[in-house]
Amino acid sequence: MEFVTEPHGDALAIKVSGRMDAVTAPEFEQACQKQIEAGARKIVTDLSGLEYISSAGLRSILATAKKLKGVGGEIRFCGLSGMVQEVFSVSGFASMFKIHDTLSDALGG
Amino acid sequence: MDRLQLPATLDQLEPARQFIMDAAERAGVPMASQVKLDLVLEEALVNVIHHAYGDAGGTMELRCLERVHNGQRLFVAEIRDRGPSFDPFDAKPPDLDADLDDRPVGGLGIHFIRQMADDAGWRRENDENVLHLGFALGPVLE
Repeated sequence: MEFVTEPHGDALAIKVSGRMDAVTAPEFEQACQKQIEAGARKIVTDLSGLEYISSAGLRSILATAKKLKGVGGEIRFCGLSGMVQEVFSVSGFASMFKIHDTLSDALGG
Repeated sequence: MDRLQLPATLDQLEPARQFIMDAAERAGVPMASQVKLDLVLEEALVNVIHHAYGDAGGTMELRCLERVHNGQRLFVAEIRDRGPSFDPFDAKPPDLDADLDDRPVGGLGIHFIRQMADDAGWRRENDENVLHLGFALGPVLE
């Protein structure tokens, strides 16, 4: 799994690619934790390059979302497709979070 | 039947996955089902790795076989451990409508197994927990 972070105004875009599984998911959580400590409050996670996510990945996302909410922040998602979209749907995450088609949609509004 | 025994540790997730996914491909599991197998397999393996044994650790055994179930030919992956008897299907289903504050961190793995495998189950056999994950070979019969 790889991620690239890019500031967009008051938001931080994190583009995740590869596989978010039980081995790699903690890396995502730690990277987000670092950004929150550095002051990030609005994180947009671009999952268009993500090939695979398991419940361990969702757990890291949920933990990150709770931390952000605790400091008055928010996490949004964009670029879901294939099995990642199905996992978000089957888990109920698709209705719990703000999901957008594209990064620019997620950054607006 | 192919089988492989590995230490039940997280660093064995990838070799365990390779073993099962290679067997699934050879057996002719359709690509759409391979994607689902990949997911439910991780969920099953991680359960064993995290919960089957205490600090002492232990092993997990993987078996791949083919079986006919209700007239349907299935590829079956079995994950076996020697931990205390535990039926993961006893777990209460997660509340999928809970909002962020009330969402427990966890409980989704077994939900994915229920939803995505064509056939799944648990049995206790010779002091082993045996979880099986079955995927149809050819069109699914309704």
